[in-house]
Amino acid sequence: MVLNDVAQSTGFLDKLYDANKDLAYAEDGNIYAFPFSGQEYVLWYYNKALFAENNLEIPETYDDLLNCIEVFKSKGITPLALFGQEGWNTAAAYDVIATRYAEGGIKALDEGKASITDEGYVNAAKKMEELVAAGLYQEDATTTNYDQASEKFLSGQAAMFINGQWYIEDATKTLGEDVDWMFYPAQDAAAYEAGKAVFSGGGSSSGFAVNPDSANAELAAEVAEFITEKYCEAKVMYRHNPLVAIDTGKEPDSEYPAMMKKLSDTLPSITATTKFTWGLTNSTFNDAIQSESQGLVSGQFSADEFIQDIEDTME
Amino acid sequence: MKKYMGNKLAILLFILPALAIFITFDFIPIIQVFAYSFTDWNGLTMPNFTGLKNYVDLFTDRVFYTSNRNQFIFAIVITVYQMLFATIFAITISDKKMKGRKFLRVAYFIPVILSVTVVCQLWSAILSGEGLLNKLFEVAGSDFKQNWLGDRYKAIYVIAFANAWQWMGYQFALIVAGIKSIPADYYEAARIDGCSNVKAHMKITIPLLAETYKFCLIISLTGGIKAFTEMNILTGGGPNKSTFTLTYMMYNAAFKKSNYGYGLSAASIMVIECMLVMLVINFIFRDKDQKKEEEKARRKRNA
Repeated sequence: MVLNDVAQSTGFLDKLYDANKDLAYAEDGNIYAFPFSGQEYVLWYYNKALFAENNLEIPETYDDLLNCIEVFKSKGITPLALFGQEGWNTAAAYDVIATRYAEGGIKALDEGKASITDEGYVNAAKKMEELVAAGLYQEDATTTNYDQASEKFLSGQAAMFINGQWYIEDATKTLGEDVDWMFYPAQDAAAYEAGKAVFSGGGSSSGFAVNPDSANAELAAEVAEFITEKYCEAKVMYRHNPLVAIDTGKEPDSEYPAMMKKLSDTLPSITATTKFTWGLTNSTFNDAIQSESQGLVSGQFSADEFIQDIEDTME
Repeated sequence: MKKYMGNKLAILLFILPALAIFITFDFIPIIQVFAYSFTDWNGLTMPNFTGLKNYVDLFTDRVFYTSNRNQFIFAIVITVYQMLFATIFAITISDKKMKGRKFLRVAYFIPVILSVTVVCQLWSAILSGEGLLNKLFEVAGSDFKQNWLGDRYKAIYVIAFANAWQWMGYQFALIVAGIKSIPADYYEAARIDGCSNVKAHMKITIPLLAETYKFCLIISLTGGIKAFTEMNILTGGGPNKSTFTLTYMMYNAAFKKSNYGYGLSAASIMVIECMLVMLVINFIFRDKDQKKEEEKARRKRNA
């Protein structure tokens, strides 16, 4: 159902952040769902205590990262716990590297604005292959689920973790001051600095929609808007997540965690984001990037196979 | 009985309910699967006829060959494991002198009544990187630590084993029932003739279980071809689709890519494979009398 009029009459459009307008409107200029999430980000979490114990600095370049991998592995600590059974997590793992070489990341590939054979994407695949071979992820990463990977990170068995910003609350609850997120490492210091403005992740146009054939479609649309608003309020107030679609005018019931404050401070300087896999619009590419990145993470598929297979699929 | 068998209306009335259910829920959907496989149906809008495009794409998809290879391995592993162990266990517990046979009969069947999800979670806990099996090797001082479910080539064998372990009890129950239907006189006569236990089973039990074995073969081989649940839970089809089967291809195309037409072309090939397997098994196990009749008919034709 087209929700333009309801969005106007209920005041939803007045509350919608400008940055999230593209999430609400479809390509034809209509609103078909009330989005509840704002722009979201893939964060590279790390255990501050483990880094300090091992006299390691936050890795800014891949050479730094390789050094961290070596040190952590020698101590029996998993450098980065990935929940690779979920394809989006391995796709995000590739995207955080790809965005260091090609700003568009997987979003540009999804939209057909870039090709997997472009130099940046090839370099990213080769870098990921190198990091996998060095042991960045746990050996059974592709059969590890979220609970297992998260447990590894929260219990100090893993030093780093890749997840969305929604994990801030859980991570802070368990690790307190010992957890933080870092800007993604890059090939050199200059790329690292430049990359601070580019994040993997982004918004998706999912939200509450209404079936136009419903008996009381107009009323249902108003209810959908109401639920969206309350959902956003709850996220801000009780989940301490200000990254929602609309300005709720609410304050969290306690202070934002330090990591969320840091992210809020960073937001103005972010110039580009990519997408989570659920925000990708090309289902063929979406399927390919999830499975092929999983293959790369497994260490049993080469970067060349990764490139070739995605190229073949997209053809 | 003769009265009813001679009444065609009665025959029709008796078979009609089952026939109606079969046509509605089996025959028509199978025909639809084949029909939609020639379209670009996305599950929502009207399908457009695309000819053989889906099949051409399917036959050039590397995952199609991986899936077929996996199905073949899966079917062979579960068939060999289940029929071998089910036969050994069934013969063992059919010996009335054996102690604890009632307990074993229940124990072998227990995995069958468990949910597939529960069984897969159990094996997942055993086979994961930090799982029980690798821990046992570690405790034993061995460095034989394996990525059991994450290995591109080996994972399918491990998944097949988990399935074979669970469903062996089903075939065991069928074979036990088959053994029970064999008259004890045959064994007595064999014993009087000085036949050993092993030889008696080889010459009496196994040949007389031909029909049971035929059924066991059909369910395990077609079960292998249709495999999906175990790989979905244990590996999610990964790494990189290396534990896919045709059913998984169908699921992935339909529900992840909204490409029902392509998914149904994979399903069509799977249906054909299942039917071929059944035909081959029926041919291998055809009656001796039927063979003789075929031979007679051939001779008549040649005469």
